[in-house]
Amino acid sequence: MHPTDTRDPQYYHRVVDCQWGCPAHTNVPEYIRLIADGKYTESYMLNRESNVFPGILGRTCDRPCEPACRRTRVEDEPVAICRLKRVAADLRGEIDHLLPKAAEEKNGKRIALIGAGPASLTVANDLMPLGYHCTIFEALPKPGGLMRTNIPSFRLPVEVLEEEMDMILDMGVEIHYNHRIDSLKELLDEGDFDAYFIGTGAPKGKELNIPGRTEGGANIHIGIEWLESIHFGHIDSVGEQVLVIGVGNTAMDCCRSSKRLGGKDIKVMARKSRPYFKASPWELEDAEDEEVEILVDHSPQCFVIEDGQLKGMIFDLVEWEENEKGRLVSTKQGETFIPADDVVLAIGQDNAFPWIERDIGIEFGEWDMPVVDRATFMTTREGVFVGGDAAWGPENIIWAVEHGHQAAISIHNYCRGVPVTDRPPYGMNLVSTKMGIHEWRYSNDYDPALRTEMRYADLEKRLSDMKIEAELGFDLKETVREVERCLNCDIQTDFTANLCIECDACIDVCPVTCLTITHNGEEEDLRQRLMAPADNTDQAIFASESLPQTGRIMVKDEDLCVHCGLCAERCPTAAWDMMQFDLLNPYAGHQSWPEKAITASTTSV
Amino acid sequence: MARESDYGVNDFGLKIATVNGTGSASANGLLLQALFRMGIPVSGKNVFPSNIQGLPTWYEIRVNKDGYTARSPDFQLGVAMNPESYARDIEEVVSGGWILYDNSRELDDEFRRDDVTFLGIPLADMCVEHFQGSRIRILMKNITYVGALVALLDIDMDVVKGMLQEKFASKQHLMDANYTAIELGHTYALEHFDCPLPIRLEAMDKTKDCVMVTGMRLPRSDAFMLVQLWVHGIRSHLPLLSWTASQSIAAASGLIQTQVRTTSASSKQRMNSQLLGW
Repeated sequence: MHPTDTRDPQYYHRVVDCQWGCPAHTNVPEYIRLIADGKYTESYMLNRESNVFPGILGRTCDRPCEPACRRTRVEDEPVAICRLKRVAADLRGEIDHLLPKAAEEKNGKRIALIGAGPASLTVANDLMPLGYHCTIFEALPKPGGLMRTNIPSFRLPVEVLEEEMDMILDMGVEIHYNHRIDSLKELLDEGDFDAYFIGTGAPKGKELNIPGRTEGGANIHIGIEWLESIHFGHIDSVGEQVLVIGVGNTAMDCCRSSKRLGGKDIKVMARKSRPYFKASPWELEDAEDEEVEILVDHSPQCFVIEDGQLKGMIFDLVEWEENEKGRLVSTKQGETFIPADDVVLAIGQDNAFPWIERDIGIEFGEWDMPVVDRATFMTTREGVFVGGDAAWGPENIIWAVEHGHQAAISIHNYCRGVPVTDRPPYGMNLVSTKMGIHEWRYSNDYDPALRTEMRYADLEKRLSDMKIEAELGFDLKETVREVERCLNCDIQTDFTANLCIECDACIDVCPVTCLTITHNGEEEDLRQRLMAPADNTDQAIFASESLPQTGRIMVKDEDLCVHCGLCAERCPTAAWDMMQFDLLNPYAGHQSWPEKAITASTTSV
Repeated sequence: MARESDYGVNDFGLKIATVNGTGSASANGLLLQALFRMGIPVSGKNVFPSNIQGLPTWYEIRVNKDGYTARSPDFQLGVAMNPESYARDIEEVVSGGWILYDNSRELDDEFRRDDVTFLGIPLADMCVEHFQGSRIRILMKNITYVGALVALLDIDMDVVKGMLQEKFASKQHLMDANYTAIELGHTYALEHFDCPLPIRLEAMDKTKDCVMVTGMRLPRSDAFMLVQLWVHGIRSHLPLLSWTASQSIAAASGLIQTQVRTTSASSKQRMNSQLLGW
């Protein structure tokens, strides 16, 4: 096995599971440490650099970081990363002076942004400081896209949403509300803009065309449209018995909203069983805490209408089995009638581009979606970019933000005549955390505390008002407890082979047997010869250069390491050091990294 | 609760808490000797319950213009460099005093006191930035806090640099590193704190014709030592001769320091540096 190149920023990046899992590569461990130090403003700004909307995401993120969290190697529950992000947002101080500012001089380039959701706002956030004139066209009377219309106020208070959007819009973004673009061709032909970004989301809720759908239409609602109507005050009540069809996150918002609009008996109807639910576990938990019932293995058969009035639905009771091809197939076991005053359909969302003509050079592919380059976000028509849910279908806010960052890089390149495939390099800082013989600049004591439970507003109170935020957030005591659960995966065990005297002290002290000194070999072979076999091939093993005394190598299983630093404390020659890794994410306008940073070579895609 | 006490110019106590094996004894010796060379009566005591690397050690310095050199009951300034002993070290500083610490990592709230002033300096961060290698960083961290004390107590920088010059005359790279470290601490303190503190130093002439001898190097008697000094012409490597049991016990219990009159003022400086390893 060749020695591991730890000077490639992506090697240590991969070790920081949460940061690697986050589409925007937010530096989670560092923002948690800043919170631990009471530096909420700094923590917020560190978040904002990559994810732009810490307050919003601290309440609504789909949390791809948490399943990845290294804490789950030592116990069941990850660090409450998302909720700590909210702590930084809630407790931060004044930040006006820290926010990016629009360039004093414009560069003469005009960018059209279609849709005012998180992707478009991120593009504006990145391009305004570079001198671009950004113009947003928004179909609705307010900005935010699905962040505003699909996430109920009891999960995301409007003031939090608006404050973070205003940080961008206040840079001088020109925005046209109630301005739906009905023809991209027309906009292109006007020639007012140098580049175009489509961030229109996936605004079309899926239909359920089964018998009775048309007749019962008045009481059968499309989930995302229904949530939008609630947000804008067009709907303020619902029947006592409500069925929500589907079991994704939108379904959870629909059932919990129903509770707040007067629904008494709310059932979420799932075709399959729990392991196949699309909703995040915490959203399911929240819904069930609010006394929503979830029924599994119920496949909708028809709506029951009497005298033109919806009375309920008939469901097939099904069992699921894998067929010989490994696909799940259902077998009907019976059927049942469930009464309902209203039914909300939350079975998915589609993209819809009737406003993009098919003869303007933008190729459409599978599912009638525009063909978009995964790295540059450019369509087959130069100068037209797509991001967020509009690119490849519904994902979540944090993905839209990252799409916005990458699209902004491409737009900046495009407007300067630089190939959009030229991507700025990632960099990293690697700094020793050693303060003394046994003293480190981070808390490396293992804290066995279990995940801190969230506190909620009183159930009766919160169900009485759509605007009462359900989650109360962590208080200081809870925050202090939770931050200590972080294992500081960004503090890397950095090894210098020529300092090692092969005393085995590190191997002796390692609590998870992740270190081995052995003869070199092929990776597959090495993985089996370690103190504990490294069977998880998703995680790297580190291989050092040959050690001076015997020519053997130091091997470390990155999957097992809990970053306790005991190897570095024990090492008599400081061959091991605990180095803080800081990934330097490039954004639009990136020029160079600080002199001391370690930089990957310029990348091209 | 910590006591309140009187203090002032050339009249205070300071206690430096460090970790055994980090090179702090040399740095503290440098500090003590610098005060002595400023002509100020001063006494020092090294308290090291164990000689095992990593365990706590303390260095007490009493500055007294009137020449009282017994151990001080009060410490107006604490230099807290060992997290393991933060609790007691911070507690020991009198009300109204100052605590210098390494804020490369924030101090836990549990250690905070309202009646003292905390002077945080990112010593480790500065050393990581300016020095290469774990060992040299740890060594230079000590010199960096000495640099800060030079500013905070108004120690004569020329004296300190002169001592470094004597010590490292033949090792330019070490002199450079020590100079850098001293300047780092000094500059940081000047830029971030009101220097000097009310406990500060003013040059005196109370140590004229004296040499400073520490217990670890104390020969059988002052008279005997003087003979030795005369015999060797105050050259390098002052011989440490036959210890008595009582002196060994005295040395093991701490550092005995005294000031010995000599007949030659010109020999004083060289003796200082040799006796204290500088």
